[in-house]
Amino acid sequence: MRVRWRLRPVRAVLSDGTVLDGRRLNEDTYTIQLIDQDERLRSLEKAELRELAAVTESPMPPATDVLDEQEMADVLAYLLTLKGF
Amino acid sequence: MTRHLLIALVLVALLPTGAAAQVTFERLLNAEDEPHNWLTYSGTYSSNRHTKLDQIRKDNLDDLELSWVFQAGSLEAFQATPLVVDGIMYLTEPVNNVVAIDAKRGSVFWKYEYNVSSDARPCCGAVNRGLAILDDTLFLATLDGNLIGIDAIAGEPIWQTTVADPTQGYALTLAPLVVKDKVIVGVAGGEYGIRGFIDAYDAATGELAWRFHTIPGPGEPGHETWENDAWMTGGASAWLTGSYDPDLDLTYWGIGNPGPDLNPAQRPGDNLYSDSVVALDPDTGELEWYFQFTPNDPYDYDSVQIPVLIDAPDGNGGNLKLMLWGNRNGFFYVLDRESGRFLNGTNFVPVNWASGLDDFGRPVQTPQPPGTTTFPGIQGGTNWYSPSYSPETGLFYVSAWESYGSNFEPIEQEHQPGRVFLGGRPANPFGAGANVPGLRRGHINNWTDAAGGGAVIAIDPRNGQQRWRVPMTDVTSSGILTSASNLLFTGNREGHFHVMDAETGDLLWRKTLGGMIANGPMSYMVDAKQYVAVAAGHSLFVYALKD
Repeated sequence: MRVRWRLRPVRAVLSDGTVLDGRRLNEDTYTIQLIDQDERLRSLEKAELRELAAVTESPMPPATDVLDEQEMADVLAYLLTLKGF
Repeated sequence: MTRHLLIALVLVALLPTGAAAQVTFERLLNAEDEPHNWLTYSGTYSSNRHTKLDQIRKDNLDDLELSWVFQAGSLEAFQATPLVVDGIMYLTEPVNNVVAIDAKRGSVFWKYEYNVSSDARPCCGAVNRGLAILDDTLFLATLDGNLIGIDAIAGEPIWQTTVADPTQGYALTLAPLVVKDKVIVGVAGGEYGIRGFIDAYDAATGELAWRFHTIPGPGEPGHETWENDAWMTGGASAWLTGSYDPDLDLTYWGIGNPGPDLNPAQRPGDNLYSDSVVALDPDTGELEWYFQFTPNDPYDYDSVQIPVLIDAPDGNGGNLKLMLWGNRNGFFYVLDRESGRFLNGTNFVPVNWASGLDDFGRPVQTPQPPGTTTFPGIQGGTNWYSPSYSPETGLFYVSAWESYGSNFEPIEQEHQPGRVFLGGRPANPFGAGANVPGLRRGHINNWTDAAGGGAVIAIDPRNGQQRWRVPMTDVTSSGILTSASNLLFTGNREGHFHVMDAETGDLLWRKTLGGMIANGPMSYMVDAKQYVAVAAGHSLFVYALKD
């Protein structure tokens, strides 16, 4: 599944090899601000990164990998009962 | 009153004004010889925004520090370039207040407050880009269509004259240009169906000396490039400061888009002199020559950019008198400024509205199918951001918007005086709600590379080729200053003020100023110390080396 580009997931590799997976909050020419997989706010200097890349695939696994056909039908049936919007 | 006192007063009144003159025309002509001052919007009549000062160098940039800050009492965009005359800085505080500041300490001598009429209706922000000066008089062009002469010592108005009617969409946003004894201004309002013009006023009295209509009237050459009555509402504004060549005695001005902006079917023809540069006699306003960059423009590609004048060897022991132009339509041009002849042109950002330029510089237009994206988009490949030319490197520097596009949708629109007259709208290529570069910027940038980005591009005028480019994540609205020490000062909309190596583009120094940079940096010297001033957000920041 493609993700909405405003919620762009990114992967940053720090100079010590630490890999940060997160979601970009803001970016400029020299820095990037993100929320990492541990829900910490991080501000990184691009020039100090070994790697910075946009992740184009959603980190959320496809529902069909987690739910079987009946479970998927149950979830959809439940969602259709929701009202109030 | 005694007879002796009366005689004394008469004698003082009869003193030649030149004796106390602050900035004579002679000084303006030779502004390059006093680099400690900044006497015109672009620094000199050649408009290369280059300083001969070289105290700030690559090897002492670590000692560059903030010297003082002027905080404007306004939340409007800060696009003005200050003037500096012998230690006094003259600055427009957005929108049309004027302040005289101690250029060494930042202390204010006086402030002239101008209340802009509620009749003003600027299309794209309540902005002002600065002042002009002659002798002891400053010249302020106001958003509501007035030109004011202000005593540079007392801060009091001397005269005020009405240039244009703001209720019809006319506005003045530029810094005037003084040539000889005249103050030259052009009007904004290309989005309101105005008929543009450039005026010259007597600097001493404010009386109109001449008017050049940027759309020729019936019977005038060029009028045939309009059909029916389209010329009456055809726009062609002139909202950035021109240049002047004293040897040729010509002043050069860029002209804005035709109107309605986005629907060329309502104005068939080339629509002269929209999107052109015009060379005018500064004494009479008579047209010497013109060159049109974008005939029958459907994209709002104003050609108001600063004309940069340089002389280059012709290979036979003489000099070519050239004009360099980084145009909003995405092409870089070199013209012969004696004749207006096209010499060469190359796109400096990706373009698809034209496949190239023919031998005469006319674009080979390739309109894109409806619903597809045109590059550059409506804000262009560059815009009002002052370029620079360095005689040291021989390079032309331009702030660019790269790979930025818009989807254009023309709409038939009837003109109503004083109402916006766009004839269409630019659609966001990424769909409604997606973040893309626009006129303004918030604190958050979360668009992707596909929406475009900014760059500083160094172009070799001899062949139009890029020598280097420095990409930026966000687009840039900053002007560029180069120095004799081969430094390049510029900023961006992210609020970074940075210094690059003018020869290579290498980043040498940077500071985050916390607000969009939308003016052109400038430099001056007081008491043997060089300063560099740049506006960011709503303040002017002034840097110098540590003592």
